[in-house]
Amino acid sequence: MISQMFSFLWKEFLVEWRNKSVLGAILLYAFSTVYIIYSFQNFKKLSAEELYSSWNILFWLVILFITVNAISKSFNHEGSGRYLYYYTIANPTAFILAKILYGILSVLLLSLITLFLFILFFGFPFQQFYIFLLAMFFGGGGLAIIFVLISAIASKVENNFVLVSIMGFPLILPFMAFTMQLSELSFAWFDTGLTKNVIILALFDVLLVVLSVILFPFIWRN
Amino acid sequence: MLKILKATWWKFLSIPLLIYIVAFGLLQPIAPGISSIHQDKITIGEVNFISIETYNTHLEEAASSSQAWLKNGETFICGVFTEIKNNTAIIGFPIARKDYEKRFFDLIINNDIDGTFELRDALVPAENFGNNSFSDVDCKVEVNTNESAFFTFPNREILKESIRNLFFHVCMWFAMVFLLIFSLGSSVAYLNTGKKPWDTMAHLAVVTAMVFGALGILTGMVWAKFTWGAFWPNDPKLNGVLVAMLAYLAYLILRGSAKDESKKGRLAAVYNIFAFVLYIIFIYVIPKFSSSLHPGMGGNPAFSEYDLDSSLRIVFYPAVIAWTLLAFWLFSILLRIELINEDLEDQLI
Repeated sequence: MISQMFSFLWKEFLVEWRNKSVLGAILLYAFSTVYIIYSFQNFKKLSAEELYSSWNILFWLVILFITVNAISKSFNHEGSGRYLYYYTIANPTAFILAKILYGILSVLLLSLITLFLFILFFGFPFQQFYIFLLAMFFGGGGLAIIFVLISAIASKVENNFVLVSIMGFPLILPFMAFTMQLSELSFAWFDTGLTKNVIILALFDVLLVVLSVILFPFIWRN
Repeated sequence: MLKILKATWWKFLSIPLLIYIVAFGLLQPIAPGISSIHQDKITIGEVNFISIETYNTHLEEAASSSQAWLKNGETFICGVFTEIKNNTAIIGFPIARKDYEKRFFDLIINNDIDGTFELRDALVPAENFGNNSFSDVDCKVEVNTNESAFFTFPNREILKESIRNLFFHVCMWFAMVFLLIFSLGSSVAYLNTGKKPWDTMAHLAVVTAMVFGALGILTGMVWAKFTWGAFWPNDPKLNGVLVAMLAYLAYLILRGSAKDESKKGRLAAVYNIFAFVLYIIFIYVIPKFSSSLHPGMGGNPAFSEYDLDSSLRIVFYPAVIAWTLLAFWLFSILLRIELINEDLEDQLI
C-alpha cells in the first residue's frame, strides 16, 4: 500500500510537471492577488496593531483562495476513464493518502511563495517567525486536507466549482479561527497558549485525515 | 423504525405537553423583584429617603409585615417605610457615619407574601457627608419567611421576563441537534446497507432540523436583543451556529445537484458525516476556547447554575421532550409525503 501511495504521489508530480501552464496559472494568481492588495491598501499608513491584524487576515484570505484554486482541480484534471482504471487496480486508501499528501505539499509550497511575496511587498512584521511557519504547516495542511475531500465529492457532480466553495467555506471556518489565533502569536513577544493551539490544530489535522480515509471509498465507488 | 414513526401515541403526547409549556411557561409570573430605584447615590450621615418601584410584588397588601434593609458586608441598616402605594414605596434609611466594608450597598426587602427579594449593588455613597450623627443602632434582621407565597420563576437581573425564552430557544436547538444526530445515524446506515429509505430519512431530517434551527436563531435573536442589546452581537457561538447551518444548506444543494440516485445518496451521506463532525467542533469546542457571551461558554455560568430553586426545570424538561416530539412529527409527515411520491413515480414508470 505504501509503495502504491508513493507511485500515485510520483504520478501527481509528473502530471503537474507536464502540464506546466496550470502551475504557472496558480503562481500568477498568487502574484496578482498580492499585487492587488498592495495597490489597494496603503500599509505604511497603518499603526502597528492594524498592520499586524490586516497582515494576518489578508495573508490567510489569499491562502484560502489559492488553496481552493489549486486543490479543486485535483480530481478533474485527468479524464474519468482514468479513474475507472485506477479504481480497478488501486487501493482507495493509498489513492486518497497520495492526493492528500500531494495537496499538502503543493499548498505548503504555494503558501511559502505567497509569504515571500507578502514580505517583499509589505515588509517583515514578525517577532517570532517560527510560530508563523508552524501555523502555515498545520493550518495550510488542514485546509488542503479539507479541500481534497470536498473536491473529491464535488468532482462527481456537475457545476462543481461553485460546490467546492459552498461546501468548503463553512467547514474551514473553525480551522481558520484556530490557525489565525496561532499565527497572531507570531507578531507578539510572548507565546502563551502556543502548545495548546498547536496540539489542537494537529489533532484537527489527524481527525480530518482519518475521516477522509474512512469516507473516501464510498465516494470512489461508481 | 418506520413503525415507530407511523405510530400516533407520541404525536398526541406532544400536543398536551406543548399546550402545558406554552400556557404555564408564558403565564406563570416571575418572582418579585425591585425593578427600578429613583436614585443611585446616598449620603452618609443623613436620613436618606429612597423611592423604589417593584415588580410582581404585594407591597400594599402586605404593608404591615414589610421590612427593608440596606446591607453592606456584615452591616445591616433598618429602613422605615414612609409611603406604600401599589407596587411603589418610599423608604427612609438613617445611615450612620462610619467606615463601611464595601463600596456598594445592597437593598433587601421582605414581607410575608413575597418573601425576600433584593437588588444587589443598588446604592453607592455620595462624595459629601451629612451632619447628623446617629449612633450605630443594632438592627434586627428577623423574617417570617424567605419564600414567596406563590410558585414563581426566578427573577434574574438583566434576564427578567425573558427567562421564559428558555422553554423555546434552548429546546428548539435541542430538537435540532437530536434531528441532526438522527440524520447522521441514517447516513451511516445508508453507507453500510445502501437501502434507499435511509437516504431519504437523512435528507428530510436535515430539512426539518433547518426549520428548527431557523426558529432557534429567531428566538435567540429576540433574547440577544433584550439581554445583550443587539440582535446579532459578534459572538463565536452565534457565528459557529450560523456557519454550521450554511454547511447543512450546502448539503441540501449538493444533494439537489447530483443526478444519479445512488450516487446522490452516497455523496450526500459522506458530506453529512463530514459536516456533523465539524459541526460538533463548531458549536461545542470552539466557544470553550474563546470568549463568548453565551451562557455555559467562556466561563459564563450555564442555566443550571442560575436556576437555584429548580422551578424552571418542571417546564424545561417537558419542553425539550415536546419540541423534540413535534420536530419528529413534522419529520414523519415529510417522510411519508416523500415515500408516497416515490411510490407514485415507480408506478408511472
